[in-house]
Amino acid sequence: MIIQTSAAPAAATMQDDEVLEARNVSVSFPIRGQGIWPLNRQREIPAVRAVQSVNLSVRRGEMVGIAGESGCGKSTLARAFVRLQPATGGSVTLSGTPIDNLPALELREQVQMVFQDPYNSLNPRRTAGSIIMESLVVHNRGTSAERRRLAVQMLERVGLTEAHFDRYPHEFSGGQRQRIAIARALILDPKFLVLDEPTSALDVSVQAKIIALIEDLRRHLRLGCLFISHDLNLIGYLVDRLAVMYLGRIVETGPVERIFANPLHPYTAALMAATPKPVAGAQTDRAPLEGEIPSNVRVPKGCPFHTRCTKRIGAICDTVLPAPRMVDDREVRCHLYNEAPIAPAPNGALA
Amino acid sequence: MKRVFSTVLSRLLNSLVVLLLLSILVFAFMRAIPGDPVITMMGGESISQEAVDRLREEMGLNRPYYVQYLSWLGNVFHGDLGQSLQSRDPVLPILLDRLKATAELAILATLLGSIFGVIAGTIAAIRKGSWFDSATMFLTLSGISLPVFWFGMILIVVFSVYFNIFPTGGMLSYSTVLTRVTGFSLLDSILTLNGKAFVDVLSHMVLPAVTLATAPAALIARTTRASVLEVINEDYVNAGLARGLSFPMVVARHVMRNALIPVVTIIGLEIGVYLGGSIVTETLFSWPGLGRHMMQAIMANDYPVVQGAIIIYAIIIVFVNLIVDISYGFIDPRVRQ
Amino acid sequence: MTHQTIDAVPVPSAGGKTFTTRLRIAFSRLAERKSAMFGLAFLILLALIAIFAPLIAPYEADEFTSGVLVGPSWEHPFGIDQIGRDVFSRVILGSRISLSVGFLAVSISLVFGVTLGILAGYYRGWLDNAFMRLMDVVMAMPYVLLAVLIAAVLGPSLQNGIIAIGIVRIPRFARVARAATIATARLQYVEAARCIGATDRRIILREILPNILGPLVVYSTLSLGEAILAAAVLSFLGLGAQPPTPEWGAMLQEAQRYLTTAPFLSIFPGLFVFMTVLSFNLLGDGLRDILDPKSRG
Repeated sequence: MIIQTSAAPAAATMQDDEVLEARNVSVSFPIRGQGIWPLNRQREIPAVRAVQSVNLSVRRGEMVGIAGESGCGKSTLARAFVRLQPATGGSVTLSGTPIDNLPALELREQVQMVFQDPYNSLNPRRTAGSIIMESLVVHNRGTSAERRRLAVQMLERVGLTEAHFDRYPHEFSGGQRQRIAIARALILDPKFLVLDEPTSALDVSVQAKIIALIEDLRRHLRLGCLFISHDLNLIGYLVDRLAVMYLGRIVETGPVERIFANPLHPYTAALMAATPKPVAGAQTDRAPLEGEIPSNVRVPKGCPFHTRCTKRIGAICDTVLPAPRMVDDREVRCHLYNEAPIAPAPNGALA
Repeated sequence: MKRVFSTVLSRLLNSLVVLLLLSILVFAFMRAIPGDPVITMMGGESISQEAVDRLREEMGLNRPYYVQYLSWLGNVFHGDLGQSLQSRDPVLPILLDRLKATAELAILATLLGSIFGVIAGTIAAIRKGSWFDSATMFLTLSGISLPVFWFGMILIVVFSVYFNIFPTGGMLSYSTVLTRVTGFSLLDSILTLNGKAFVDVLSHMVLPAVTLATAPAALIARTTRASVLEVINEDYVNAGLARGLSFPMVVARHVMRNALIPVVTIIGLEIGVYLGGSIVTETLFSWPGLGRHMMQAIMANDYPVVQGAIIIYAIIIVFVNLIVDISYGFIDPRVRQ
Repeated sequence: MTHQTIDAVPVPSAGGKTFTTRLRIAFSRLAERKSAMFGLAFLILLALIAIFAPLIAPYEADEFTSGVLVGPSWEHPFGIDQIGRDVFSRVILGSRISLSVGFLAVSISLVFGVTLGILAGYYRGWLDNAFMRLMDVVMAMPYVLLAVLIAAVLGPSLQNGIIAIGIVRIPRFARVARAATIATARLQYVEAARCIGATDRRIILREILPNILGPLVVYSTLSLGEAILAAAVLSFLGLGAQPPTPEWGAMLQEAQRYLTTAPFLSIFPGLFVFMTVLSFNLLGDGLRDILDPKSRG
């Protein structure tokens, strides 16, 4: 399998309708039992509900963003897409097939991930080249000479050189390490790439370069990208569609410019208001975020945001979970829009 | 309060499980020793098969293993640890008797070790960097590395043979007479107002106790030093000094109470070391304790005795660890919540 | 903001730090600690003695010379023992035994302990619980007791002594390996390895094991000293090496009877045990300090 290295983007092929989709995905972690065994059996086992009933899809060639604060479950959701964290409810499908049914190696060839921490995501005892080649070794591709050739090719593709092949991670800067991480992910020629805050640990000046690299690769390889971040400015610049997450649920989805221009959900509006630099072209809501994020263990009933919402209507916000509604071509879960039609069930169409 | 109770309970259950597993382990081990004890008991002469079988049945050694184990376990709970294969005497009374001798030695060793260790460690910490400190560090490192039995032998050579201050072994000199009251010889000599015996027993105890106490004392000294060093830099010490308290006062009042916490833990956990080391020390000094008796039993394949000894050791160690565990929660208020 | 093309990234100027360079750096840091160097020096000396023992020792281990129970002299620096053998030669030859006992015993503990520890630390769950409970049980007893027990069961001999000591050390190695594995498995490169599809086996061997070597090396060094000590103890009690093997502990056992008449018999073998164990401890302490300066005593 040869990676396309030509400068011109590949022509749109029938690969376009491949979709990586989360259908009603939930992920819960039971908390380890406390107390002695006979005495604690009656108590219901508390669980951390990291992700609840998420519907989200990424098409090949599309860049979808997930925005939210720490603890909202976006990292867990990212891992569910890659099957590093099995979904406890619902399923993630790849062009219709649940990923749980796919053999591991095949899944890994289609969906890959770039992690957040450039310092801990590379094995310090391996050289850069060895790290990149490992993917090929695991999938049993090619002879060792071929693998080396491909790895060097990949190094150059991400902006490094062959001289870097034998160096150890501690000899690289943070930005360079992320390049290596990207190379490792892309050498398998996946169709989808999940990026969990890949630039959050980097200096701002380096961020821009890595983002540029990602964007370039996405266009050339027609990657379907899921970009996770808490930085709204970054997301606004990079993604096509955006999903806003709060306390394990997606509260608003839609094209990113429209969301920024007119945030429907009060949380989205508050997030934008709280962002230090005003987002270009966005309408800032004057109501800021108050209070703290409630715990993931005792998730409040009703709308997850009702404890901090400044636009709270009444008791309905406290007791009833808002259904996803369609407003224009966006989806939002908020009782403010209860006149709008209910969003269609997930079947591979717009999430 | 419920939290404390459940913690204690879980630790207790844990300890019991450990003991149970240990008993199975010990039992299995003893059955695995090669050599048929029945034949050994009969002197290995050519005896008729029926006599062997009869004896075997009499002793219950022909029942399936788990039955033997369960009946043995049941007996243990009744305080019956079986009979020695050599002497046909009941095991438990002998072992308890020997245990008293071991206990005396261990207690003396613990006292010596702890007191010396704590004092040395504290001074070393206070005078950090001085020659005393360096010397202590070196001595303690040597102490941990020291082969106990060799050190004992050196002590014997120096003090018994050369200087002739202390006897080379045993518990009592031939000429001393001591009436039994409790079984603890030192105690008995006090109770019977037998001053000569008291001095005699004590002089027999010095060398073995010092030998036994060396390695733990070294460890205690090191731990104390580290712990005091850690505490001495904390702010409340400076606060005390600022308030006008003299340095020794501060040390005594504030430093020691907090510094001693990990030290007490170590002292408690070292019980295992004392017991293990007592096997070697008792053998070397012919001290009539549990360790020496157990070694003799091992050599004679007298496994009821060995089993019993191990069980006693295990109960003591597990029990002491449990107490240390629990009291640690009480002593250190930080751990309590 | 325009999309930029990938710019060239300069090659880092520092020379590549290969394995040997890191080794040299570690060694120089070790050299700063005099005590550790002293230990290392003695151990090297001991290793040389052990390797060249047959050449150095003037007599055979069981060769009879003139005289019995004669004190140290120029001809016999450590004296002559109760049967007439040269103590010096026996001590020298005994170094081979002691060192090999140490290495063999620690190898047993290392292989089994680390395997158990890694498996427990990687997979967690009930496997972890079960292992650790078992380890707790074994560790509840002082090692001397346990070693005595095992050696008693297997029968008194040097091989069985090695096995006994090896088995007794397994729980501690398992603990160290488990803790290190848990800390490492948490890091993202392990997750990344899983993400590209590596099997558990591959992850354990290629990602985790190389990264937990540090604490294992330290612990192995310290354990070597203790293993040699344990072997001597067992022999002294009659359960390990049997006479006439010139093992240091066995020699001390024989010397016991002659404590009053020939004290020199006990001094030298035990001295060697002491120096060996001390050296291993010094070296191990030094290694531990380089790897983690915070854990200083």
